[in-house]
Amino acid sequence: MKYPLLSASVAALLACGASGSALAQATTVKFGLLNLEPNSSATAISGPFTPVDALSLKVKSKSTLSFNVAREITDNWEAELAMGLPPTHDVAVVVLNPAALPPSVAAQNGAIGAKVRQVAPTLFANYKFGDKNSALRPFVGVGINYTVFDKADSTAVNDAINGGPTTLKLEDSVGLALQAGLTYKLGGAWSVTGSLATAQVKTKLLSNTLGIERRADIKFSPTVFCIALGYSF
Amino acid sequence: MTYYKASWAALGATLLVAACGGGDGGPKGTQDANPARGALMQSPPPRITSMTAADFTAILTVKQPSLLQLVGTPVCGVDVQYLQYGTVGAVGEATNASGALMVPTGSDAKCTGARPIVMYAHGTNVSKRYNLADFSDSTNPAYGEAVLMAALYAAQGYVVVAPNYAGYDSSPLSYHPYLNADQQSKDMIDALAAAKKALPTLVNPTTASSKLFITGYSQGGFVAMATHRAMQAAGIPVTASAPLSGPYALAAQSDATYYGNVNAGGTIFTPMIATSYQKAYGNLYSTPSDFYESAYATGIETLIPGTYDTSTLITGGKLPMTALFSSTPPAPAFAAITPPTGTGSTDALFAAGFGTGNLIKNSARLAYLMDAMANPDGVVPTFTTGAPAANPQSTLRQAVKKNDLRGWTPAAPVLLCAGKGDPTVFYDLNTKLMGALWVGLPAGLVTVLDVDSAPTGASDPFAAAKVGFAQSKTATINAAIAAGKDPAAQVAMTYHGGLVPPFCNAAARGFFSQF
Repeated sequence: MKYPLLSASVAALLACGASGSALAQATTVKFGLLNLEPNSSATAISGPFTPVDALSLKVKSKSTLSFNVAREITDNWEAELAMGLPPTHDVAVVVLNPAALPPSVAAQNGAIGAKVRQVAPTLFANYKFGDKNSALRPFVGVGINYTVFDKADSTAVNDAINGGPTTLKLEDSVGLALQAGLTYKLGGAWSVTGSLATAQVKTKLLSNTLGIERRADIKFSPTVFCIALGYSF
Repeated sequence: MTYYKASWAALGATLLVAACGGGDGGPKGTQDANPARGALMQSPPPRITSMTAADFTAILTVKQPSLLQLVGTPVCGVDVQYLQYGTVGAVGEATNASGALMVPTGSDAKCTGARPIVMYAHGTNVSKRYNLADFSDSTNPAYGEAVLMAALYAAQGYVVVAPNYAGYDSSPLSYHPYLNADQQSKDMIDALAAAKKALPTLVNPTTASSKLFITGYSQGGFVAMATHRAMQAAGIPVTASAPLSGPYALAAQSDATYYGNVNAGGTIFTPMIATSYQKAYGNLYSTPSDFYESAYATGIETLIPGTYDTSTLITGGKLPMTALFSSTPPAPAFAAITPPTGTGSTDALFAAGFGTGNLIKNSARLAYLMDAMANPDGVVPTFTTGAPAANPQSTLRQAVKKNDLRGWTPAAPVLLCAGKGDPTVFYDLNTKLMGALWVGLPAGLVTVLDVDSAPTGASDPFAAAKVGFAQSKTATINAAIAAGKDPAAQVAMTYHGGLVPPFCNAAARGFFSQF
């Protein structure tokens, strides 16, 4: 056994495939659409050559495709991994104090200063209400969210505001996640699920414009609405 | 079911691995942490602010209407860049320094094409955070001078290169080579070299013409003249220079101080000079307490530039307000100059330079005076040769002589501007003296302007500066009377740092505009 971990995971996958028919409807894959409203709040951007409390930012909403895998553990409990096609959010410039800024910068309130892509897998433990055979089952879930901002690009607007080509970096975030939803069985292996989820996401933005480092702390209380078609096996 | 969790975890991990590879948040462009002289540390340099002509006009209209009236409405927009470049310290040690590079923008013919360069050397400042590029912070001690340079020159089509000097802002040099003619001219020349490398890389790429002007005020007046001299010696063409209110005859100014003609600000300038020359030559004293009274000696070499401003240096007890010397004569023979009397209107100024809680030890003053008497300067206490002392023995007097700017002859036009009532840098000992030493030069090569004088007639090219100064001085007097303060004291307090600078700077631009 040179690669015990690999062997274990291969074994697990084989077990999953082998057990599919034995444990009917134990696993559900869901494909759908989600809309992520980040509800971001950010501190003022601070750093050298930066007027105090003059500029901030707001992360805009984005829709994307969702992909979830849920596995029943008991009749009422399931584990669910929520993922999706990583959405790229527009980040708007927020002018807090136009008087402290050159007019060319103050005029950029609301302009798109950055595009940020996030990958945010979230693992939930869901409690499903009602009988196992009910057509309509509400559920609530609690879980853990891991958010990685894997791409963050400054726009020409942001480069101009900051004074040159700018790189952006956002820290990873781990936090609590909650969701509530409804699953409706369509018949056979098919179902449809609607859910509303949120998570605690905190990150630190580091911007570097030709050596000038600026920072902001960003908190998200996202509202994630998802509607998905499920297939159980 | 644990194996399912394991497989999900594996899936999640795969997703995360795929997600890596984003930007590392480092700077773009090229970086050089150990720059050679005149090399940029960051290329291109970051732009700190960008104002259109209309933006800048609006800012000046609200915040500095009198400056706007003096310098005229901006014709060009102004981009300000933060420059960091390699230079050297007083003993040739490699270091770096920072400064501002301002360029004109916009479509007016005065703002496009090849633009002339003005190098600006700033005046004495005690705060390390002094940064002429920081337009984002109006509380920065450099802000006033920075706005003046932007309005006076950049907004009228000049490229401005204005170093903060080694030892200030982000410079890692642990001291400032204050009034060190060799180092400070190198710092200026290195800033210029770096600026020229940066110009084509800017957000608004800029081309420099072959016209090169040098100016500066107070300490910067000295630096401007030292730079003109150094560039001329190096064969770098200088179009013209305008040193303003500088202590050019440094040894004469220094001797005058020790003879009791203590200037306004003497308790600030003296430790700045002593620290600078101690770092450069290493022979002024064994320990600071040889030179300073014990109440001030500890830590004085790192006091300036530092975290204090001129007010907190005094209120924090780091330096006495005006008492440079003891009111007890260092020897009975010097009673008549402790303090000097019978000097007319300067009696009060000189008297303030003496007191209890003084900065400089009497033993240090005595040693200086003994040498000054044995090896006198050619100007102080009486005019003889006009030259510095031939063979001073005091190490401090040797140091100020080494940095005295008497004895060179400009090949390009020079405007010397100051005010004759300057209580900080004495007019007669510096501006008037240099003019007198250069009096035989070809007509038009050296122009001496005393803004504190009446216009010579309708054709006086500097009439506006003189009239403006007179109005400003009258306004200061009237405001003092209205506030129940001593008008003479108020004028003395603002003369060097407030009343003269706008008018000499405006005169300098007028002078440059003819080339």
